[in-house]
Amino acid sequence: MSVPRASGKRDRPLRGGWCIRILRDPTALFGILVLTLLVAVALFAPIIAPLDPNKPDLAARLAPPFYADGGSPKHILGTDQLGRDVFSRIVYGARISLTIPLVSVTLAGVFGTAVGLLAGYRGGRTDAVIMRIVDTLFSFPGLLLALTILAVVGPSFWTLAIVLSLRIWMVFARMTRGLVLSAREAEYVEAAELIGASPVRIMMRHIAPNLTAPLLTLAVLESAHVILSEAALSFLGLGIQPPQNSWGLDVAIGREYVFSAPWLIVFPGLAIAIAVLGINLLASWLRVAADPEESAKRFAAAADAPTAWSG
Amino acid sequence: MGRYLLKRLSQAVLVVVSVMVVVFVVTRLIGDPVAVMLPLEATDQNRALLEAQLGLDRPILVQLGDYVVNAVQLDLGDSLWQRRPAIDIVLERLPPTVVLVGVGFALGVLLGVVIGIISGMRPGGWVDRIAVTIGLLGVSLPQFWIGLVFIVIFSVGFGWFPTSGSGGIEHLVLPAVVLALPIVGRIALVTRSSMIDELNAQHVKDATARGVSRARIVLAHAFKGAGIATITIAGWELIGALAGGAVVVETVYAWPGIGFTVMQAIERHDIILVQAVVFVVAIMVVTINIIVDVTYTMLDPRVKFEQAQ
Repeated sequence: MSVPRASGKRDRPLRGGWCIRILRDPTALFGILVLTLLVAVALFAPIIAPLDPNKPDLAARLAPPFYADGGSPKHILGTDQLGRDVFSRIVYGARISLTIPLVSVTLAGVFGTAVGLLAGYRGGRTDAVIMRIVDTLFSFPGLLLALTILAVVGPSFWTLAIVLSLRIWMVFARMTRGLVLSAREAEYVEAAELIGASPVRIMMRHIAPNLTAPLLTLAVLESAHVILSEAALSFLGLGIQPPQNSWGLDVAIGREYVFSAPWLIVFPGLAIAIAVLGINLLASWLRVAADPEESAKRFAAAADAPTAWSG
Repeated sequence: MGRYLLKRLSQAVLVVVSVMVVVFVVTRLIGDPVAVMLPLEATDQNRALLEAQLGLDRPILVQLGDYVVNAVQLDLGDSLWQRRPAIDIVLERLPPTVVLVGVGFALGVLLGVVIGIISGMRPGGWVDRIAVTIGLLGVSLPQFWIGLVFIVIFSVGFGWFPTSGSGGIEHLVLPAVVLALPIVGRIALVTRSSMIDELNAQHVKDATARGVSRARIVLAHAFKGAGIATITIAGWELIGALAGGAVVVETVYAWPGIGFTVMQAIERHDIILVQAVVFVVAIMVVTINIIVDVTYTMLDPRVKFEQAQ
């Protein structure tokens, strides 16, 4: 493959460890910063949040943000209709935006990878049956089906996490299968088979190392999709339920006051947008880090998976 | 071609039936439909009555068989909320969704392809940077949020468009644009990436050497190849808009389509109507899939119908 005509900056040979390479790349740096911030805010929410996110203050209902008339530094991003501090709610909301993708993507990744390994390594009938099931699931009406299941089973953290992982495990299965199939063609795998290495050994020692980088990139990318889906479902009232905090839920609450108190929707939505953008940029960079030839096309990674079917 | 279509059609039926079975199993086995439908103060007598009325007192497999047989005849039961056939309600609410998704999708694909081609022509240039930014924002911004922000800016602030509801063209503008945004983003990024590949391909270089004009190279040579990737993504986008985007956008703008209806049905615990919407959307999704596959196979001479099976 020829090297794409990229900007001069990207044609520079890659030098230094990944740490230095990230620092040189503004978009990747932004991605890493966003992710670090998300983790830090989620971990230290009680220290960072100035107020209790669920404590109403009826005297300070619908207070505007600090920059507006009547705003005060006590509530820098204003308060909602019950006088709860918007900034503190966003800080606590980071916990859901971090834990839901962590749980869903881990569940989906482990299950999908196992299924993909089985299909790719066994081949034949097993492969045909598994891939038929995967193809069928890809044709399911994604978000609509998730909505229906959540409405019937009842929304909660765990049902949400499981439903979201059910929507994405096929992506991992399909990618793993593809990687296994191409790795099996490699001469070192054939050699290992010839000298009689056990299938488990071949899988773990010779095939698995080829899977790590692409699957990790996929996991990062899918996290961005899961955050968006969680926010959309919570917005529709079928995701996270009060008193838990979620950015999507906060936008839903603010919807009633869209004319009088637009800050109630603006800031939580901005938090979702920044988190998703950062993670998408990180995923795009990881793709390039694994395959520098693709550097000019990197951003297509953010558009890759067919499960990005959400609001 | 005939055999191929037949095979695809049977796969499509399989998909629709499995969607129905999943919904059925979830509602009957994991959830408790009667508990969801009845108010909290309902007595055991109320429960028994509703169960008998809905046939829920019969064995589960009989119910499932019954349900599938009826669904084939487009009898999806009576809506509990409106007390008339659920399929009638869905078909009434379908045209607004078709209009919204149709306009939004067309807008999204058109803009996405144009942006993708222009930015793919010169990767790294300033036009490309703007295009990539638009693309990344399109795939990263939550749709429901953009919908509300647009209401704040364009309806409340400038007073250009109504905040919600349906009627004339002015009601359609904001929902269609919001529905189009993620489509623009993904189509632009994917088209850009395949344009970069194609413009570096040998046949394009040969054409350049032969002195073919730049415009002709970009459109007739490079985009012809890149278009195939775009069509695949466009198919996913159409399905995503129908089965996801429409629900969100219609809810934000109170657009009276099936997405808005499904949320109303969920609020009113009308499981029959929810199932009917899922059924109709599933049929539309598999139809789109078949159309995309056939188009794809016809456009790309490398893929033979036999292989595509």
